[in-house]
Order: sequence, then structure tokens, then C-alpha cells
Amino acid sequence: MLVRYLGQRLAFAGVALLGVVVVAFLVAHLVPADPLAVVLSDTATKDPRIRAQYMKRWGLDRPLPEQFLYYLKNVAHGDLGESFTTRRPVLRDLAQYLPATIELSVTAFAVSVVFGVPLGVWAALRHNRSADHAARLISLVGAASPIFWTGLIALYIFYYLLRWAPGPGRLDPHQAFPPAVTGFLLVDSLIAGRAGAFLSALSHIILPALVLGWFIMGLTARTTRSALLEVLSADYLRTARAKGLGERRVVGLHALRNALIPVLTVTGLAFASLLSGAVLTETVFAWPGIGRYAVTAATRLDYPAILGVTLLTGVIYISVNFIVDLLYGVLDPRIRV
Amino acid sequence: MQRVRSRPNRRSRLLALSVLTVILPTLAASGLWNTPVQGQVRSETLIIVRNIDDYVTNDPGRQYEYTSQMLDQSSYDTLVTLEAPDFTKIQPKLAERWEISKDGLTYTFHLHGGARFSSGNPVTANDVRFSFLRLKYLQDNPSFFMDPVKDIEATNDTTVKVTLSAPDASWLAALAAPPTGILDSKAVIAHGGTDAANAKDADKATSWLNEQSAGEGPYLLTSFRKNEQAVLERNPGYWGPKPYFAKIVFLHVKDGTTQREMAERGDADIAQDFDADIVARVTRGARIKIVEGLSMNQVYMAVNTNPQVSKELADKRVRQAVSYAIDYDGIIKGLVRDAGVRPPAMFPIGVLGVDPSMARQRDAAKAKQLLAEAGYPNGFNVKLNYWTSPLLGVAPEPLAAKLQADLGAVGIKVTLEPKERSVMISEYRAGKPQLMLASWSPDYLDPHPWADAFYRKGGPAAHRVFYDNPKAVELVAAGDRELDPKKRAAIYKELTQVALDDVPFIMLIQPKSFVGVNPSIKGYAIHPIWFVTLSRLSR
Repeated sequence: MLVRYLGQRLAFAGVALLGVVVVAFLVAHLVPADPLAVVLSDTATKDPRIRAQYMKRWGLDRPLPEQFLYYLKNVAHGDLGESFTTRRPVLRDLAQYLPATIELSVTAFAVSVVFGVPLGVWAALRHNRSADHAARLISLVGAASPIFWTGLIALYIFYYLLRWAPGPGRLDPHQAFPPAVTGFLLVDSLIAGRAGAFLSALSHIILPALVLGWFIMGLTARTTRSALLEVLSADYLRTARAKGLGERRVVGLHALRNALIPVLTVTGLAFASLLSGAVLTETVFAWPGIGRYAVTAATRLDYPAILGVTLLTGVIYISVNFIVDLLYGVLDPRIRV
Repeated sequence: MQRVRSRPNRRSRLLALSVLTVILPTLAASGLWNTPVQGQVRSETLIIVRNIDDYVTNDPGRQYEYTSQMLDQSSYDTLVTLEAPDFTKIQPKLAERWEISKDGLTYTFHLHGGARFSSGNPVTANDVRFSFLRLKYLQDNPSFFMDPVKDIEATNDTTVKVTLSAPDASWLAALAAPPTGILDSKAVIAHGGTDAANAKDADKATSWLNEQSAGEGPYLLTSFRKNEQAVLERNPGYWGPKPYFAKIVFLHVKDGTTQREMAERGDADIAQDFDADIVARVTRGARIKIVEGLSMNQVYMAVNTNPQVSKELADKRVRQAVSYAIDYDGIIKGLVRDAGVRPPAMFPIGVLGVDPSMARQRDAAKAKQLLAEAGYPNGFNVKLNYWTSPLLGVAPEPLAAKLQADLGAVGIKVTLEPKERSVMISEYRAGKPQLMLASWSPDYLDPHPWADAFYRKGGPAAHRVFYDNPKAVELVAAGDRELDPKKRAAIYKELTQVALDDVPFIMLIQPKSFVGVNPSIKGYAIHPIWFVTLSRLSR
């Protein structure tokens, strides 16, 4: 049963990814621009030999369907091609930028759940009272403020004025980067046994994670609140109360567990969106993540990089969805396969 | 809906308290962990914040991006150099002296004896030959620097003789450009490099050169993390004067406001991407000084001369009318807050033969008269194209709107047509736009690259507006042949006059550059090609 279920999911994932790649490939090639015009300098484009060499290098001299099939064949062999702009294998680029993004996303996500779920519970319990309004205000400001603005303000207050947070970047400029093992600075610095680098990396991640986390926290808190309000008036909770259970156990054990299912859906998607890169946060905090890479790829018509990022984003969404589905089963046994 | 009773008062306080007790101390503690490094280490480390996302490669034979110019300039010495403030005076570097034959065809360079690469290998005439030939045969972005070269011969260990296929008065100035830096041929060959004619396919040294320097310059690249940071360290064996800083760290910070905050806080010694707006927002009394210099960048409007693109603009009188209609001073004063100057034609102020007093001024009556003479007393319709991302620091939208208003005042009805940059570049290179806002940055500091690009028929910019005037072609060639600077300057002035008459391009703004520098830093002078000569900085 489970094997069949997994097989179905995998097959579906494959079809979805293929669709995503086809669309990305077509859209990228529909843009009426010449990628070489962006890559080559003004003086070099006048030389037909240089043009021809680059066309050949990236297979641009072949018909479009052939280019696509060629790309698919390479992807099947784990080769995402070479980026026009960085002139490195796309896989290597992704491997460099993705860990920075994951590190920031996981921390920001933790912030949003740790603060967002209790805030939502609190707001639901104090429904329509001043505390609820306060919680709503915190959530709405977080979710509604443009993230680059929150980031700039946070940097201005906590870095520039108060000096509590370090400046942008992932590491103090006087700290050498630890040898890359996992790509996660927090992990690599520990592997290398360098406490200074670890603390520096930790202190650098806090502010961007809070800013990004606040944004998602608003969403988490609002969803938790509305989901909890819905179940709080359910019959089974009246029964639980009638049995004489304390309110704390009613909410904590019975209500919250059921209320968490929509929360899981919403935060799962939010997490996936974090993982596919937060361009503006990355710009403000000088964070070398995948978002910036994606934007550069798009503006410079870097086909292999565009397709690589699209493929990666597809994989992230499909995996997160899958994990969320599995977690549904944990929360609600009726959903289990 | 039923109101739920509980004991939230205590809980709410608890939550508020936990928020305060977790977040704020963590932040405060992180500030403590991050106490800035003090003393000699800090003093001998130079921290530069800059947008380095343009970086593609560190290989001198393949790079043609802004950041790489600065990095390579400090790792690979060139034969000659051009330094601030006089960018027309060619100075010796790896070549201590040189002779140019009377016919302008043969250049003999005598190398500075005693220079050694970081590998320990001596710098020889063979390395010069290898580096130049490799640059030529890689057929990549900067290969055009070696286009004039016919033959290179290493006469002995310290003498190299270069023969050009035709006289080229600009070639010596080109040898100051970072792509012509000298590489350690033995080390590069050992890592897959070659100077053979098939180098474009056979050379495999680029990835090795991206990770380290194979040069002998004052600084060597020790680490590069794309979109994050680059580290240069002082070359202990450098043959020239010992540079002050032991280490230079480039931090990738894209946002100008953040750069300003870091410079004001003293976390960055130098912030390279300031503009007039950022300068205006510098906090009063902050420990930061603004270094100002002239870039050799150009923001201009291309005017298509092809009758199939615009039959009106194909008439020289109409193009002149357009150029008389523009309120140039309004653009410089109003739009860019005086952070720019304006030379008469597509030669920037700072190179040979530019006379700013020749610049055209607004004359609306003359514009109307010219339009009437050309048969358009009531004006005509025209499209102005531009892309929406900044043109070398200048926002294109307000500039386009201003031009629309100026041309509108003499009856020319301009429709604005902005497009995505990659699309617009392709259309411009294909010669499609009628009027187009664009920018140009310098290749090297001699009038030749501009003359060739803008005024020679078929030049990289000229062909986009189908500019074709035999007189201009002749003057471009005359400027290339003439070795006497005075006579050359006169030729370029005459070419400027022709350009003002033909108006294939209208020069609008040559922007100033602004850099935020910590007051402790000495020796910062803006360089139009590599931004600053790093080895000349001290504290």
C-alpha cells in the first residue's frame, strides 16, 4: 500500500517537474532577446567568430526542439549545463548558493513557528479582546510590511544605531571561511572546531532570520488563530470540558492538534517559498542565496541557470508538499494511507 | 461565537516576557560576540564594500567586468600604466622603457629586471609573448586588445619586440588595461593554458586562474566567493614599493544605503557604490569623507540615421534640430544634481583632444527653424526607447520624460517605449530603435576606442544607428596613424565637429563617481577603468 502510494507520488512528481521545465524553457526562449547580446561586451559582439564560438559552446546554434531534448538528456545524467553568466556548471552554482538559503530559511522558519503558533493560540483564546487586537497588529504589520523595508529599518536600528547586531553578510570580514563540508556555515564552523567563526555566523544570521521570520510569523499566527477558533466551539471540545478537563488540557491536547492541520499547509508552503529564495532580504543583508542568482539569471537570459533554478524550485515545492502530507497523517490518523 | 474563558492574563504576560527575554538579549549578545577587531590587524586590513555580482572570471585573458578590472590590476602588472590625475601620460611599469619605430609599426619593450612571479619564476620576455598571444587567441571578450598585433618576438630575456600590422597610436595606452597583464607562462601552461592559435578551445587554465593569481603584482588573490567576498593579500616578493595594507577584503554589499551605514560605522573603510543621492544622505558629522572624481562613462541618446527606421531622423537637419531642442543644463543640474559633466561628442572629458567649450547648447528657435527647413514645421512623431534599470547610475525614466518634454517644446512628439534590458540591448544592437537612451563605459584611456566605436562606419555603436560618413571614417583612421599628440588632438577636434554636424549620437551626461572613504585612508584617487589603484592606498 505504502509502496504503491510512494510510487504514485514519485510518478506525479516526475510529470510535474517535466511540465515545469517545458514551461520554463518555452517562456525563457519566447523573450525576444539575444542572450549573447547580454553576455558579450559591445566590442566582442561585433566579431562573428566570437559569436559563433559562444553559440556553439552553449548549443544555441541548434534548433529549439533539439536544444530541449539535449537538455533533458543531460538533466537525466545529472548535468544541468553551464551558466552563461558565471561560466560554471549550474549544479556547482546551485550547490554554492542553496546552503546559504537553507540556513537562513530554516532559522527564519523556526522563528515564525516558535513565535507564531503561541501568538495565534493566545489571540484565539482572547478572541476579540485587546490582546487579540495586539496580536493581530503584530501579525499584520509583519505580514504586510515590504520585507526589504523591514530589513532596512531593522539594520538601521539594531546595527547602525544600537550596535546590537553585526552588519550585513554571513561572517565577520576578519573571520576566514571554514572549509566547506556541508556549505552551512553554522555546521562547517563547528566541524572545523572554530568557535569564533560559529559565533560570528550565528550573530550574523539572527537579524535577517527575525525579519524574514516575522513576515511568515504573521501568516502562521493568523492561521493558527482562525483554525483554533473554529475547533474551539466544536462538539468534542464541549464534551471534553463537560468531562471536567481543565481548559489548558482542552486547548493543548485536543483543540490545537486538530487546528494545526491548516497551519501545517500554510506554513509548509511559506517554507517552500523561503527556500526558493528571498531576493530582497538577500539584497539588504548581502546574503549570497539562491534568490539573487535566480533574478540575475532571468534578467540576463541565462537559459541553463533559469532552468536549473526552476527545476530546483519545483523539487523543493514537491518535496515540501510530500512532507506536509506525511505530517497530516501524524496529526490526524484518519488521513494515513 | 462563544467566548472562551481561560486564564490568559498570566499567559499573555508570560508570552510578552518570553519575547523580550529571548529576542533582545540574543541580539545584544550577538553584538558582544562581534566586537570589532582592533589594533594592527585591523589597521593593516582594508575593508571595501562593493557590488561584486558582475564578476565572471579572474582570468585576465577572459574577463571584461568592472570588478575583475580592479582585482586583476593589482595582481598582474601591465607593461605600462596610466594613473590619476593625468590619464594622457603613459608611465612605465613592468617595462622600464620602450622605443617606437618611426613608422609606428614596431614597439620594443625593455622589461624591469628582477621582477618575479609569486611562484618564484622570473618575469621574462617569453611571459609577455605568451600572455599577449594567449589573450589574442582565446577569442574572448577582451581579445580585441591584441587585434593590431602581427608578430611578437622575445629578443632576449628582458626585451620583447612587437610588430603591428598597421600603425596604431592608441596601442601603448591599451597596454595599461588589466586584460593585458602579464601571466606566469610556466605556471599557466602547467595548469592547462596555451598560447597556440587554437587556444579558444585548447586553453583549460581559466578555472585555475579563478582561484588564484599567476601574476607578480602587489596583491595576490587568495580567496574568491562569488556574490560574497574576495580577499587579496600582499605579495611578499613584490619587486616594486611595498604596499601598505597586508590584506584587502571586498565584501559584496549591493544596497547603497547599507554601504553608507557600514562606512559611517567604520565597519567598511571604503564604500565604492555611492551616488549623488547617497552622498546627500550622509549623516552630518559622520566620520566619512566623500572622494569625487570623473568617470569616463557616458549616458547618451542614439539617433538612428537609417531612413527605413525613421525617414525624418534620416535627414541631418532633423537630427540637428533634436540636438538643439535639448535642455542639457537642466538635465545636469536638475536630474543628476550636478553630479556630471558634458563633453561635446562621444569622447569623454579626460582623454586627448576634448574641448568642453564646443558642446552644443539649447536653442529652441534654431531647432524649429531646422525642422521647418527639413519640411516638418509642425514636428513629427518619434519613439524613444530605453530600459528601466539604471544607466551607469542614472535613472532612465526621469531622463526620458525630460527629453520628451524638451523635444515636445519644439513640436517633436515623443512616445516613450521602455523595455526589459535584455530585450532592449538586442534590439539596439540590431539597429531597430529610432531614438534610444544608452550608456558606454571605457575600454581604455585613449580617444581611439570611442572614435572607432561611434564614428567609424560599422563600429560597434555606429552600426546600430547606421552612421556612415566617409569623412568621419577618414578622420578615425588619421587619428590612429598620427603619433604626435598635438596633431592627434587636432584630428579628434575636427572629428568632433563632424559629429556635431551629423548628430548620430547626442552626448548627455558624463557622470561623476563618488566613493565614501574613511578619513584614515590616504591616497584614494578615482580611476576610470579600475576604480582605484589599490597598492597606492594607505592608512
